[in-house]
Amino acid sequence: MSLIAIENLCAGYGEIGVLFDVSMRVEAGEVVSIIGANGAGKSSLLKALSGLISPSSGKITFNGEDITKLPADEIVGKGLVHVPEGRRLFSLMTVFENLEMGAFSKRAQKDFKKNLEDVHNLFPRLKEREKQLAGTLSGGEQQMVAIGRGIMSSPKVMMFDEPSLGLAPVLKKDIFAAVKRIAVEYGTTIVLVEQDVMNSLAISDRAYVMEQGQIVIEGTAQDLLKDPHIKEAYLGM
Amino acid sequence: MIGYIESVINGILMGSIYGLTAVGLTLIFGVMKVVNFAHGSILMVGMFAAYWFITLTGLNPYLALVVVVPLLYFFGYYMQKIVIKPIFEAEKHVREPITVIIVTTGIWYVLDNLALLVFGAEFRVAQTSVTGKMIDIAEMYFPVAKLIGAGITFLLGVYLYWFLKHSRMGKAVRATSLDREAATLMGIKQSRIYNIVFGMGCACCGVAACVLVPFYYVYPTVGVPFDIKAFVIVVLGGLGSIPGAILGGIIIGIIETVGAQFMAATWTEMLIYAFFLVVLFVKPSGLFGLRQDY
Repeated sequence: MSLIAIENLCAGYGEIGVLFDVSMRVEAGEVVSIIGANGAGKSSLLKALSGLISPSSGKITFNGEDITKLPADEIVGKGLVHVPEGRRLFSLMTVFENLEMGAFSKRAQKDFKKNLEDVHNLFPRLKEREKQLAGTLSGGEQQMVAIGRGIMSSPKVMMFDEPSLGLAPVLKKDIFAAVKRIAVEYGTTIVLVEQDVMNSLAISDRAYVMEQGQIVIEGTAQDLLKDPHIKEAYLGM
Repeated sequence: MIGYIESVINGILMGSIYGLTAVGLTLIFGVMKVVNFAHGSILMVGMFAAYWFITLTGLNPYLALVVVVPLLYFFGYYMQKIVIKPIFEAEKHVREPITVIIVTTGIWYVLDNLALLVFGAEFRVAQTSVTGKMIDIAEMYFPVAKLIGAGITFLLGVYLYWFLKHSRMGKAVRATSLDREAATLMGIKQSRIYNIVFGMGCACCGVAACVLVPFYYVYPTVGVPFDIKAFVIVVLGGLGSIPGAILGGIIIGIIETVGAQFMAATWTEMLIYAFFLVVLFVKPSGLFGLRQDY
């Protein structure tokens, strides 16, 4: 049984459809990339998974449980954690308070100490910056807080939406390394939405390619790296 | 000279109560981005509740707090849950939920006219143990009821600060006010936060109502003058800022009492609005306001 199974999902904003008949699955322990151009529906797919937009048809099961109609605030509590695009930190709250908010759900509260240790272990910088307002951090540090906040939610699955967006190449590498470490060291399943196709395929087991709200290609990361269409359209080779 | 000091202090005392009603308004606006036009009417409901409690039981007027504050908390809580929430849901994809403002205006008219229907238009004064009592401090005279009122306001301010700064729910309230979608992703149930915040905003009115009743008239449209002042204070202090609301209230109180030393009391209103306009001209985001787009 897949950890996440999406069957024939259609979703959108009000009258406007964005996702059309999307089916995919994520197995426990995998790192799965979703790649595609701007406006392909990658972010909307994550939003549908985390409950921020409600599907018009189709079915999403998580851990064997139907979560299609569940509100977003309850989905986090199940361990399906969404680290949103653009970081979305609580800018006027301190780094520590941001992390505390990550641990708001009941399930996460129990593991608060352990999760905080994991976050400090992964990003020692966040411990130094604990009392600083999140809005005053640099872009890379803000992304660290966003990821740390996700870890505080005790995730079974972490879904990252463009974690490397707008970061300098050297910081990008750090962020991808951190994602990889979360998968390897904590055994967390990862769903990674990225435009940096090369870096994200490098740390993924499998990947899906989205175009115009549909999944057009799926396969192992290795195979996709060799695929001529991918090479031309996304890697510029 | 001593007369001025006296009126400044009296202004601070009365202003802190204005600030208290404004705190409720700014709390609701800061988190929900909803202007609650029914705020003054909720104050009026609280004042009638306190008036009848005091008149019927004859107990110490401040015991009314125990009844009126929870009453208004639940009044606000369920008003948001039953009346306002469905409108929010219908306008989920609208950036500025304007319809909510129309609804709160409707609640204002309904409440004021219900009060008129039930209690009549007359002005009532609660006869309490502190009504009309003055205290002599260093040759200055202050109404006891206002001193107690300012004291209670101060305690409430400290509590609210603690609640928002340190309690788990208070932090969730701040998180929701900063980014409601991100807060939802943390597992914070937005509608529950809204219920609580609306309840707390109304509870602030409940406290203000209880401290006002011992020295202020109660009548069906008593909320209107307070409402208008609260709006001025909230904008003056900076939308959504709690310290701004309290400081703004105190400034308005001082202008009102000190101004009355120089001119007829009805003219002090003009001073308030003149000052308000100057502040808006110099710092449009208000004294404590952040330059952000609501």
